[in-house]
Amino acid sequence: MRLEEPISLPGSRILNGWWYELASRRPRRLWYAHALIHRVEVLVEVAGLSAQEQVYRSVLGILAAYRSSTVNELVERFGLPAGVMTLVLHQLELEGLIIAGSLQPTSDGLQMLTRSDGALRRPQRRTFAFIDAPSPQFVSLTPAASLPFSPPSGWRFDLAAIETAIARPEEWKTRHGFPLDVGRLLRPPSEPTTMDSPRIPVDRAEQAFLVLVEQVSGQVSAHVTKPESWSIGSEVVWSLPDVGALEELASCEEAVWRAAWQLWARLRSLPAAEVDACRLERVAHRLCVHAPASLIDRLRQGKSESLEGKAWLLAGSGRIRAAACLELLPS
Amino acid sequence: MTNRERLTPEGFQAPCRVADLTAPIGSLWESWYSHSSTAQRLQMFALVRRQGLLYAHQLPPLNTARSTVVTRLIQGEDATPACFDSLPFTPHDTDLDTCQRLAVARILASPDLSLLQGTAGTGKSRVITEVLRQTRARGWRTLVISSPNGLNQCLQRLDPQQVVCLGGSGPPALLLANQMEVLRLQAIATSQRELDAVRQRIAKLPARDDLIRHADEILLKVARLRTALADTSKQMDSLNTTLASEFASLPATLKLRNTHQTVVSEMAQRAEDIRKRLAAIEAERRARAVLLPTLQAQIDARQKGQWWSLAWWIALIGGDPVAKVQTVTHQQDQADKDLASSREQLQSIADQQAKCPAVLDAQLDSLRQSEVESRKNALVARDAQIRSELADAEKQWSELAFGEDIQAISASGVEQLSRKHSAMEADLSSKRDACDRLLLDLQRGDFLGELILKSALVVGASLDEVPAEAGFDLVVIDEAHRLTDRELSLIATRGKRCALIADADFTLSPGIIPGPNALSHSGPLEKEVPARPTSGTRPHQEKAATRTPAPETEPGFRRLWSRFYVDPRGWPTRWQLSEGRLIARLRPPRPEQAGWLHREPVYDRPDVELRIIAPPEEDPFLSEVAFPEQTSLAEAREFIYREFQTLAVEAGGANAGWRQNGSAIVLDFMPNLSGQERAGCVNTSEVNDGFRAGSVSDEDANDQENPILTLEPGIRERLAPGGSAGWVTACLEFDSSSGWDTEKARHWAATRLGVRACGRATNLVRSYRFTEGLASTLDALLYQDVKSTCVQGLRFVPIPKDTGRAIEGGLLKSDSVVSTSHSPRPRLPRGAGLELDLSDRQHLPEPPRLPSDVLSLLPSEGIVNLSEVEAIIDYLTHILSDPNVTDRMDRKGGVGVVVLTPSSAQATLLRAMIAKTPLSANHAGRMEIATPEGFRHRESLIAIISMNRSHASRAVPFAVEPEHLAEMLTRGAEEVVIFADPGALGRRAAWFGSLEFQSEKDGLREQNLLRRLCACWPEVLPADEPLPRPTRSRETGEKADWGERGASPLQTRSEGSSV
Repeated sequence: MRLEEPISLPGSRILNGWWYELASRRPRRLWYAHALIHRVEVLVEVAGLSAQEQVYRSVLGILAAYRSSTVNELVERFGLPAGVMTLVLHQLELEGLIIAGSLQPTSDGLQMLTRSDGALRRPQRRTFAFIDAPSPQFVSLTPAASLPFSPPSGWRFDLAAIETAIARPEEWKTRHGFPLDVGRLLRPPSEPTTMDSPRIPVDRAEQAFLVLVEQVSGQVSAHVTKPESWSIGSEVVWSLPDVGALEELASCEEAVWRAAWQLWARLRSLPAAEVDACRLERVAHRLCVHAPASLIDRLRQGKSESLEGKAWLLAGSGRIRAAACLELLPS
Repeated sequence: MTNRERLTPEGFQAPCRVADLTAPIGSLWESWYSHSSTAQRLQMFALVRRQGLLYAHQLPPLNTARSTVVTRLIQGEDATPACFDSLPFTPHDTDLDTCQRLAVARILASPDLSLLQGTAGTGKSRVITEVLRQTRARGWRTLVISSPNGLNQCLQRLDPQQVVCLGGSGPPALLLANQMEVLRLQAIATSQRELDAVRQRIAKLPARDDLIRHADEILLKVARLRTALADTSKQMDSLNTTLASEFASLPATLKLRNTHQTVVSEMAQRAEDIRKRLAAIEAERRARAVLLPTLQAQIDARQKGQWWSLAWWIALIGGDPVAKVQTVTHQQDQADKDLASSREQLQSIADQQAKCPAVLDAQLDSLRQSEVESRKNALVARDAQIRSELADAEKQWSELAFGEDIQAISASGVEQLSRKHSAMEADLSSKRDACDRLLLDLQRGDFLGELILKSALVVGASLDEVPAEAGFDLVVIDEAHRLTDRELSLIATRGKRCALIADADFTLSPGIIPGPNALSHSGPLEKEVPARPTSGTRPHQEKAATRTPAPETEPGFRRLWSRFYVDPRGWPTRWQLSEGRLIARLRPPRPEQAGWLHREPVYDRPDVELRIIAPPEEDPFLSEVAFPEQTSLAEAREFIYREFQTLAVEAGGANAGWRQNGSAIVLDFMPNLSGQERAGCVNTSEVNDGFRAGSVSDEDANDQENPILTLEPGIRERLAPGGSAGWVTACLEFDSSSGWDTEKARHWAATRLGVRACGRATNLVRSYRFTEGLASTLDALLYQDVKSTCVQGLRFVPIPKDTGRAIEGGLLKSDSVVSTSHSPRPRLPRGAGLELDLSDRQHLPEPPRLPSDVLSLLPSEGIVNLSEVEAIIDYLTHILSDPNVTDRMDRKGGVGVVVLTPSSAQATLLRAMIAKTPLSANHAGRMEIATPEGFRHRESLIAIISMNRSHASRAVPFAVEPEHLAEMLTRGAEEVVIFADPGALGRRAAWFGSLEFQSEKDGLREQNLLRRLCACWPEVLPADEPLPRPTRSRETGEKADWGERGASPLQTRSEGSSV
């Protein structure tokens, strides 16, 4: 569900500062997001082997194929320290996959070898991040990018969002960074018992303050910012192939920009009639306002930063808002 | 964006970021579930039934585990750490000093968190190494987090077999992260080779039918050859017998016999001919014998002239008979000879004929022998040929028959071979699959790394490579002062206990926080008392000592340090002998308070004088108590404690700690210092080593020479030699028999001394890196916030050179300083404008100063200063041509001279320019060029610092973080040489606040450091005078206002001085 949580918004100077700070990334457009995140930990079926299983199977495979293998040969073959290999063999013994005291696979060990990777499905708890929205959207946001917060009452998440994401085509998953090896969601039964504890889904409420930049290449990358200082991190915490990948990044309608412009003008006590008469045009990261000369003169007298190309405004009412630099042009 | 991440002139600074720590460490749910009670679990299941899932905020809080205490401590929450006693241990590194051993003991003993701080070169890495050795010996799994250089320093002394190191580069002995990748690649290569070999064998493996057909052929051939071989052998054996039967009929034999027969026949013929000739000769001889009387008669007749006679007439008609006789005689003689010759020949032939059978036999024997040899050779050759063919066949077999012994293959063995073929096929397929799978696993997974991590006792990791695995017994976080609370907390969750190691904070604050000497500032009460050695004492430590809470904004380590570290040397009490009196200075007055001194004698002890400070509108306080000279220290201390309930403790050590000594609970102010060390330290207590004064160890506790005071029943104060008055407090003892227990004693100490959770923090204050002079200079410059009176080991080389010559020891070596009479100085110092901005290449000076080949090597952004580079190269050439210097470098080992610069672009330029000189070839091992971050944890004999910035018209920052400047200054063990533009340096020192990418705080810290640096060379650099604070902050975007004077004091000074 979408919550009307207070949103922290940066000011014009902050936006302007970001623009110059991110200049090395060749930005084309800018957004600011105060996103509420569901970081949901669920049990899913994943394909393939775990790292440990990979090791066991590899060692078993070698032992089965080269029946006269010695520990030294295994060490040499795997390039592992002898201590590590001893540890692995000991573990294999404990799990009954090799005969104790010898390097011969047991029948269970041989059976393990016969299974194919692709067919193997193993349950694993995974964590998925979703932006809080009427239909939550998966985001491959790094865990470090968001901070836990106390959610308001009414904080809800529908597990169907995960199932929807799992059911999406591979192309979508690749575009959005959704893991391809996730098979299906293993929901808890309606009457869970202690036996079902691995299946219990947990949703952790987090919030992320992000600066999203569309680069010349079309790729959108997100940087973390901190509302205390509005400083931004250099690391990309989330990236999208293009703006189309996220609905909220799609171009704002003119009405939205006009509302933002009008709000900006109202805060500066500009005459509403002249403000309404302006023609707006969105060009890359700029919002070109074709304004009457009198309005421009008024701003000039007020030494407005808008005439120096340093005034920025945010448009929209959602948690992801497009930013634009005001450019006043005589109409 | 933190300070470290701010955008610098060189673009985005690589952030010192901790790797993703949250995701793989474990499930939130599983973690909660494993620690939750049954009731809590049931409660959560009920929620799941209703909601379908759980929300994290609904999970009830759990009983905090030990690691949670660590996390809460780090996060500054109110967690009460448990008390613990340090454990005895046998150090592997016997050269560790007492303080370092104390640090190791505390880290090992702490159940949750321990802290270690030290200035440059105090042996922090050595302590970590010892900790790792100790933990390894205990079987603990330890995770060390540090920078790559730090890891090298800590881990290089360990057995590489038990160390895994992630991230960075290092000595080849270590198994580093990149080597783990190498390992993986090696394993891939091995497996690939194996796979290729198997595939090759599979390719060579013939089809089954072909194999059988071929095997049949080989088997037949082998059988034939074997038969032939047997025949040959048989022939060899029966050679003589065979030849005996065959010899007579041999052509050679027959030929020989025929030849012999011919010879015999010819001999017989010849004998017959000779015989015939003999008969003829004899016949002729007889005829001539008859003729001779006739001729004799004629000769007689002639001689007698018997003409009548017929004989005469015959002689007359027939010719001369004498001649005839002579002829006949001659003929007779010849005939005799012929007869003899022929008879000899005949005899010879007869002899030959007689020998003929023997000759024939000999020739036959010879022939026989020859035939035997010939036949034998033929058989041997045949045998060899057969054997060769057999060997070939057997080889073919062995290739074909999978090692099956051909001898064992019976005629029906082809079937057996077929089975063998099938088995071999299966075996090779199995091997191929195994190799394939291993290769695939190796190529796609990093399980080797994971595996190694799980098994290694010591895992080293850089901040970017923090392993996801939790459950380490100990996590050692080096350079902890660089991490945020969150990063510290997250890393700490990897282990059961955590040790934070950090560099001592450089005292770079611009006078906002009073320096340590503020406490020991001498007022007008008494004569100047030499300042106590306060190396390592930091402003926040002072605050801790006076129980002032640390500001909330302080980063994690500093806050923890101020909470847990108690510096006994920071306590204000000082004992001294002055003007023939024993003075106890209990609370030093501030300078402005010193004028409000009142002296009052004690009513019942008029010889004891109380010195009270009573400033107007403030509460009066007792500052000093003066005793008569003959008063013993014990008596004076007891008097103060009795009368004022004040502990006049003057402790010598930098660390305080609790221990149990028999029945006594001991609060030790100089823990674990042996008597010998104490004896050696007392005399040198004025050196910058806060741990010089002695401690009372167990065996010394009964040392009757040291005074023991009884403060109150059960509490004894034990003294040790040291301090101005001769004695310092070694420890306080709380006697259990008097009802004191640990808790009560700690509470008492917390109330009276502010000693709360000591025992977790250890301060290393004795630097082993620097020479004495340099140590003193750096200590004053960086740690004590005082003006160094004598600059030693620190040199300044102005760039450009015409602004002055190299300064050494604070004295100007040349009088050719720029004169203000000819070129009046501007109001503010101005830089020479030597820096070049690489991001603005279009505006690089013309003609280009940078060689084009060098320019191509430089990054696209950054500031470089070619003049400094050239000057540094000259200087390097000069010092490296001095055999004394190079000898010293070689004796020391490692890097002899390091050139440090805060700008990586300048470092690149230095490398490129030095590479063009013979220096790089001749002194490659002795010289290194690095940025402060790249040379962290390392040292060299000489450090050369290229400050780089030289802007003509404005103040510019010199480093991203002021700590980088301080780090550069502390890398040289014997000498530090600074190359800088004095104008730019002075202007920066005069500029309040941040510049460009700096934060406000860092800006002030940098300014403060540079001001102190400038004060070292007042003849060249602007003087260190008190600066007015700007009335408005730059944070507001407004320009700094220089107060009423309208200009900085530097301006004023420059106008009035001739610098």
